[in-house]
Amino acid sequence: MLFALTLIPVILLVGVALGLLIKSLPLLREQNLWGLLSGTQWKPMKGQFGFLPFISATLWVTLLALVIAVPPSILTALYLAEYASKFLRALMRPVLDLLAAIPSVIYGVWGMLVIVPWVEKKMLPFADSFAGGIPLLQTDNPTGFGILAGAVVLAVMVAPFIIAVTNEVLIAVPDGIRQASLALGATRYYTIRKVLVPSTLPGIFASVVLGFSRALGETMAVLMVVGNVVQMPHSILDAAYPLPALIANNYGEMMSIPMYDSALMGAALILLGMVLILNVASTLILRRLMGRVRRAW
Amino acid sequence: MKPWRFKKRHIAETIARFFMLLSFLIVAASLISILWTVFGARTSSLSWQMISQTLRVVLPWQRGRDPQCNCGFPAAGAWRNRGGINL
Repeated sequence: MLFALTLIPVILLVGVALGLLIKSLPLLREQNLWGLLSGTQWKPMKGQFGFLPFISATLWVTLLALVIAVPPSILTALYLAEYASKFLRALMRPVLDLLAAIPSVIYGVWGMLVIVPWVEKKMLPFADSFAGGIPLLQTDNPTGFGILAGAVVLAVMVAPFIIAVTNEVLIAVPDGIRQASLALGATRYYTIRKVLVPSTLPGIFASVVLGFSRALGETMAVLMVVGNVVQMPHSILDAAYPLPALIANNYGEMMSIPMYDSALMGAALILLGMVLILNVASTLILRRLMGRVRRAW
Repeated sequence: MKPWRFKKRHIAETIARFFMLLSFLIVAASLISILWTVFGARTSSLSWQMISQTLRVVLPWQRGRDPQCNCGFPAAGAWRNRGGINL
């Protein structure tokens, strides 16, 4: 009985993947997979379904969000675990839970009201005047809606997860290890760098993967600020159209177009595949890191 | 320990602590910004009546009974005279 219950998540995952595969089969029969994955043209009326702009937009937004989120999140977790007073720690725990519980649409509204105007009024003039030579900042998008706005919103969304998990991992380190390092004359920072971080590396990595998975599939907040323009992004200020936004914006609309339903299911299948690949890769890396930590201790 | 090495460690400690505090302040500022955007700046436009009152649908033939309604429909009598549903 318990064995059968344990299999339910596996059956669900296989069922979802199979369902998406069956739904996207009409498109896969008509066009080859590589053509779909590498195609840059999205013209449903002409039967052209190139997914590359959406895949690259998803990766751009997610990776930039992680670049923005990971360093401050880990440093914040280290500060809370090692330097902060008991009062601040007690205060920040519910605050982080609150941040994690805020619905994504509120992050989207915040992005539209705060981040998009900031990108439009501060970052675009900066990119025009000072950083014109940097390819990552060259754009012809006159609005603040784009990859940077989406990534900042996403970074703020995933930060509480990364901070909370990293903080828990750091707190779980036995106090004796810290005391031993400090007793040998090491400073707090040296203890963090040489003792705490190496011993908790698998946990920190797991927290980053958790954030990455959340960021990859996040729909609502990103959809509201990313611009939703089908194009290959070349700069962080360009507008883009990630896969979850494509599915959320279009499913149920224009279903009379041949293959459109199948193409959207194909987009969902690609997204599922990306998340699965990420999770399998991260599990392998995690195992390796844990083995290294075990050998070191 | 040589004094310069001690000084170097002290500087590294101070820099690391500064960056950790800065990161913490960035996260805290983003939370305050979200809360201010959602609650602080928009609370003045909310009223208890707006939150608590239920939807009131005034049908065309009820307009005559509600002098406050200015919904653009003809008066109840006119509606019936045009062959509207006489309820």
